[in-house]
Amino acid sequence: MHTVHFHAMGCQMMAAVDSTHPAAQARLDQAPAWFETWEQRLSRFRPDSELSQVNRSSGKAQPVSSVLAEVVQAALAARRESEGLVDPLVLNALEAAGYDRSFDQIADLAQDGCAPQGVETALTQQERGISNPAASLHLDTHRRTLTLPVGARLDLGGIAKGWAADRAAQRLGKTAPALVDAGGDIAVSGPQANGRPWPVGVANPFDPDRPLDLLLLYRGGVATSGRDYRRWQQNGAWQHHIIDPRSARPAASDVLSVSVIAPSARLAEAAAKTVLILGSQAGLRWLDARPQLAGLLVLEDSQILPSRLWHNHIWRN
Amino acid sequence: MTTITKAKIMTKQRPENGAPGLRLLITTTSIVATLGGWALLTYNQSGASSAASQADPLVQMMDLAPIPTLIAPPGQAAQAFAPSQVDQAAPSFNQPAAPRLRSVPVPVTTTRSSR
Repeated sequence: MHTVHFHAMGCQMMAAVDSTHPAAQARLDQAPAWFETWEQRLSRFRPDSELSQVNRSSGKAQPVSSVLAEVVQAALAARRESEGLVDPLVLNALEAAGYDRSFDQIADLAQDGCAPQGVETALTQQERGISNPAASLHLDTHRRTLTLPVGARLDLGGIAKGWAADRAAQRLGKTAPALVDAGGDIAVSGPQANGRPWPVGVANPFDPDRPLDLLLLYRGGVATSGRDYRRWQQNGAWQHHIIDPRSARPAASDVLSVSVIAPSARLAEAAAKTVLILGSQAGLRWLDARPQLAGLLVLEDSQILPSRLWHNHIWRN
Repeated sequence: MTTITKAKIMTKQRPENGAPGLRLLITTTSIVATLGGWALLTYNQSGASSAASQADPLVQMMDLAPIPTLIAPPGQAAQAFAPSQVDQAAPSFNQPAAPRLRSVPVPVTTTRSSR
């Protein structure tokens, strides 16, 4: 097995191919460059990225690349599937909560004793751009143009990572069985070369060195959404990066982290975020109503709640 | 005299039946025909033997691999049933192989919240 580790999209990435063939190794070596290309299209932290340019031109139809169009389409699908709980138009709300720079920079500020500033109290919900997001966000797939509501801006962070994991696994999988880990959002192209599933650990937010479970993935993806890591203090209150569009503020939830298995990493990422925003009771009901999903919830009080189908996917002695 | 004459007459008649020119012609024709036939046969065998061996099933049979014998060549027999290979494939009594499904797989990676 060959692996490559690199940093992209503000996260640690890993890609693996289960082959010793030189062609598989050569393709694997290209993976960091793919992510760099995608990040230049999709990052909100790069002023010269395509997404930043689109965000500066809300209210007007902007021609967009096929990559940006595809990821926006995935984000719109996630919004439909989550009944509006996963929304890409949350950038104003995220920045208002203090997530106005890359998380590495926020962590550096915290180490220096400086808290992110944000303008949390200064924005109304409408100004955050998510009061009625369906009204004017428009992607014209034929002309490949994107129109944002006036004043609204896109954040594609989570969706972009899931999409990138899927896309990279698909590309690598053309030469050999592959797994791609995009900062915790994981996609596999199919079983390993010996026909066995890929073993993937599930991190325990209370004890990262002792995984909660060991998943066996034949295909699809798994993703974890949590407020255990990307969080910070603002005006003395803890904030995190998962925005509830209903309040336009970081979600108030009893779920600390949730891992979801799905037919793709993109779907898993959106489903995990949905469950976290819904909270444990409604989140488990939502998962159990969808046979293509399985999840494991870790609550703030350290309870661990599996969904109905979770045990079908884990290694058991 | 008569006898002599008869004899002379008979002697004269035999050379008429086996004339030296005719003998020479027959002998020469036989030799030429024999030599020519050999030459033609030799030419046909050397020039057209490859084509004939492909087209003619009888010739093809000549090209078939030797009929297998019950005794394999010594090198092959040693390779196919090398005791060392059989021993390597089978678990030894001192170290029984644990069933793979019961062994804990080593995770390739771990899912966690974005970092």
